Amino acid sequence: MPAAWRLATSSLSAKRGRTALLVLCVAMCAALVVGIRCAIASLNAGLDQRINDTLGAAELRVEHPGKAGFDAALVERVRLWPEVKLVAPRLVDGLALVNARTLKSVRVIAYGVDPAAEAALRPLPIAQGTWLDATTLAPATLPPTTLTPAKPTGVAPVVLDQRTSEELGAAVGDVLEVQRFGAPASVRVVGIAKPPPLSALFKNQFLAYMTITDLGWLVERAGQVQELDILLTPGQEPELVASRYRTTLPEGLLLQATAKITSGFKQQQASSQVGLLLASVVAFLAAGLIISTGMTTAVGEKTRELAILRCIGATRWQLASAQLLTGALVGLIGSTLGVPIGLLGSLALVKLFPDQLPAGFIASPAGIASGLLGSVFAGMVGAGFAAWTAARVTPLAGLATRARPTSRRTIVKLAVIGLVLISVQALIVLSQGPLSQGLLGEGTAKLVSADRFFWLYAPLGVPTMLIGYFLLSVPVTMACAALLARPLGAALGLPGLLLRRSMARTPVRHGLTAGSMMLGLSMLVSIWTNGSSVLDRWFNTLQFPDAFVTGLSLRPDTAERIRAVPGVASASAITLYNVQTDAFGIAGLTSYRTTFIAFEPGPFFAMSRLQWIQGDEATAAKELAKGGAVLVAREFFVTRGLGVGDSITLRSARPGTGATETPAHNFRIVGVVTSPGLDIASKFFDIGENYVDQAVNSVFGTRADMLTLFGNDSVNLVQIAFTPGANPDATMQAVRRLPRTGILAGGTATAIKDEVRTFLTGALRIFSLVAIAAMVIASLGVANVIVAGVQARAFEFGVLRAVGATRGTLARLVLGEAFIVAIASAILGTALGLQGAWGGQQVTTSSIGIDVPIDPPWPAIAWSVLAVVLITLAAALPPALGLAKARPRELLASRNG
Amino acid sequence: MIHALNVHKSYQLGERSVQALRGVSLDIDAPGFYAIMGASGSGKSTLLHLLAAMDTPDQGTITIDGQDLASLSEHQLTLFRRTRVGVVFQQFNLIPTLSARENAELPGLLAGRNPAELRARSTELLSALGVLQRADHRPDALSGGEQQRVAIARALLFRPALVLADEPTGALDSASAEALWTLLAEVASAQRTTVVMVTHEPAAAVHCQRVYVMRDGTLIANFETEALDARGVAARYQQLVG
Repeated sequence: MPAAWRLATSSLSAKRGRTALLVLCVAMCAALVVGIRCAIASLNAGLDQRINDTLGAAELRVEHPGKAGFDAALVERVRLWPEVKLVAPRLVDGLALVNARTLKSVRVIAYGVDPAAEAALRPLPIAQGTWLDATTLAPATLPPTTLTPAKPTGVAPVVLDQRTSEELGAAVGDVLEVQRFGAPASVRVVGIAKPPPLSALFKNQFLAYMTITDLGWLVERAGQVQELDILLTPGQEPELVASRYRTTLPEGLLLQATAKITSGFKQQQASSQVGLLLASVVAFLAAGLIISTGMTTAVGEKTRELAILRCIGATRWQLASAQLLTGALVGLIGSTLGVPIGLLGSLALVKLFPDQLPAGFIASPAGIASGLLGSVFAGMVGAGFAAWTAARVTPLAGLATRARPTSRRTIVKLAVIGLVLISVQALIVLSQGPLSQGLLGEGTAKLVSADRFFWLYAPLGVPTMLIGYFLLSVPVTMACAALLARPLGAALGLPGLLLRRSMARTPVRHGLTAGSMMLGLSMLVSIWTNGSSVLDRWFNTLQFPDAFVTGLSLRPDTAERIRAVPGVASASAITLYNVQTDAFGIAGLTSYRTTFIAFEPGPFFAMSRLQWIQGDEATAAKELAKGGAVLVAREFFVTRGLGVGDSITLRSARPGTGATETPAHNFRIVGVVTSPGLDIASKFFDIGENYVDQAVNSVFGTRADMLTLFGNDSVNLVQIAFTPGANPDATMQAVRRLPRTGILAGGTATAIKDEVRTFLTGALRIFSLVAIAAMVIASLGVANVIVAGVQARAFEFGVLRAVGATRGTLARLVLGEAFIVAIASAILGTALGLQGAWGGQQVTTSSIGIDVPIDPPWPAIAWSVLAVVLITLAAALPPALGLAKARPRELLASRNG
Repeated sequence: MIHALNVHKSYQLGERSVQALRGVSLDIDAPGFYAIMGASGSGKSTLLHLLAAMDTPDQGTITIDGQDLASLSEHQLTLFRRTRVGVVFQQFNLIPTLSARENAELPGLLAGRNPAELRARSTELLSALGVLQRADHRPDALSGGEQQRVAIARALLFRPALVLADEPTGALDSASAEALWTLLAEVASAQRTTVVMVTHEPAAAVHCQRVYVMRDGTLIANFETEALDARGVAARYQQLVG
């Protein structure tokens, strides 16, 4: 196809400025996609690093499902298994350390370890000093019943992580006091470790490492360990070894392959790649629509030239392929600029945020490939309509003595097609709600299952909605022109119907320009509508308890001891355990676990401020006491229609039975309640590796059932109610100071909610930056089209100047057109954003059950509209000023049009 | 060479239908330089477009160089235009983003011909038409006359049996126009090509060997111009149209 190549390249090189604008549009889109994907790859690598540092080279793990301690004698038993090469035991508890030199104190999560085994399995990078001295290790066979064993000789060595040492102002060699009841104790800092990956995201965690013996004595848990990480000899299959020994373990202990522990997280990472791919496709589709505007405008300008080509024997396909090649070249050139810029952007992010992106810069192959292929895709999509238009040019079209105006029928056709495409998305969304109820009657049965809904919505509903609004932009812009042109023209001092006629002359060009600008605004509207709805209508309405404390495994009497603290009215022990359910997620993409919150009904109901959607407290309490019953969060009702009288299946292995995660436990549902936010609060502290095992929402059952069915009787959380008038901060300080409780972290509801709210608002701001970047990208396309429009009408403008129009008149005409286009794009962008938010809300509802009404933040939307108007006017200003500067003779010499 | 029989053609112009040709019949059997004259709206450009296979008649037949155009599909008509007919328009002939040489070679480029052969042929034509020294310039750097010469070179690339020129001098000054008419006559003679020119200028028709006169969509008469000058042609034309 040398002819098409020559036509494409000559066309691109002839109008370099406009070509540059289109290329820049693609480049910025590619840079955004590549930059974000590389940053996410780095973040995932950081999480992988953190998991690897936690699990190290371990292939198997023995632990209690509730993280309770168990007899250290098991260590020697496991070491004797012939398949085992190394066993690394750990004990975890809280310690309060005080630096007498600086008078600073901090509560740390203390890891008791076997230094040699730890160094072999997951060596801790030491920034200063040394790792723990292995000679201080006592045999791990101390009798478990000793409550006050003999104190180990000497001052216990401790390695602090960097944040802990900074918080305490401690250096290597410092001796720190351990705040405890009983014999006084000190520890000496022998080393300072580099912080683990992503420690900035887990900022509530201060870490310290010492030997198991030393920690066991300090926290009165001598002879206990909490987890055994096992490295096998080469050639062993972890699952086989686990199945061989699972039933030989003491009651209540789980033996799992570490791959299984991380499998849920890996699945989440994989599904996020699918999500990123879908988002990238939509982003490049949007860029393609912008390019389509520019290229279609160019084809419109060159109708005569195309007609000449047809006259001398160019086929329709040759003209079309020239356009497609042009689009592909724009995409390719754009990608060669955009991909490196995106990589540089990701590199900059890594340099600016080393704590949040500790894995360093990662040039994600998937990100780069999506940048390259997506750019060419955008160019081809953009060229599609232009190619079709060019192919339709007849030989006689260019010989017409006057230009034919766009017929009203064309505008009506665009309106009808646009509305039909928009309604595809609407029908898909309605299938989940009112349409289902209308056709299937009241109840929660859906026309389309949640899984099918997602796979219809994402690849079909969203693109058709985008394209529909893009086509609708032409009739909407013309409507705006009809309404606004006269008053605006008067305000700008433009004669008569000049502005209106000027808009009506090229409705498709003006309309598609408005369509290009609407995309960024629609993203902002969607993000802020969904975000503020979730924040204001869901999160802010969660009724947290007054406060709570948490730990890996709190002592059984912790709740009772907390009740005795002045200022505390009541305290209730809770067990948290993530179980599998089919209620949430998208088949083929991701699935979520849910948190089983086990409580003692009496105090729990008194404190939790549950709101009953179905059932009542009295009946539920009776049923719960019988066993085999649960309350479910409202989100279960929303996603799966589960309510009182239904049953729900929850899956998790009962330890020591040799079963994996397939055993199903059926529970009767005896109530549907609003969530008291305990699952959110526990994720907030994230003491364990909860991020590995992502769970959404919760079910509520008794601790008796938790022990019977899941073998877990540990206490992970104690919720606290204050007496009226109590000082929350002072009360919590007193609670945290209680010794021998295992408390690692805690907080008041207000403090936790504030922090989570700040995090969510910050996330909204980051997404908004992406939307603003999209608006800037669109403005490049808009600038291209406005320049094209000015060039195409140069002769006409020359005539206006010749008959007495001033420079200012021409500039105001161009700006007036841009203003009307901006208003049209504001209307379209707001409508698209709200419809997108509606669809997004339905996705959230059907996948994880959060069902909140759409509540558009109108002040924020108003500011966004203002931004669109200003950006559009800014894009129009240079061509308007250029036009004003041109002399009449130059304009009249133009042959275009 | 050209045989048109009882050709009818109408167009929709807004809400009304315009009958551009009403039963036109035309026979040209020998190579040479011919003119079609008529007032504005007489249908001469419409006839030219049909002869150039750019449009199809509502009724009647057109045979060019032995090829019945009605038997060709739309794609085949395109290929026919590419190699068997050359067309020169009044203005905007050339692609503004291509050089003069590239414009002259354009039909060959569209046909995927050997670039070396194309180059040789374009050199030959541009040299014969006196614009070889401007071969690498873009159209906006050429005068009107030079642009038309390049357009003629393009029209002659495949040595077509028929060249059609639609008011080719309409945008030129009189000196350039005179030169171009002489050039077209030479092309017709030297290349043994049939050149048909639509014009409303008697001074142009003088260079032709025969003039066909159109009025109200019909070919009313034709006459030889051998013994006539421009005034004579004008008088004869006026006599025929009344």
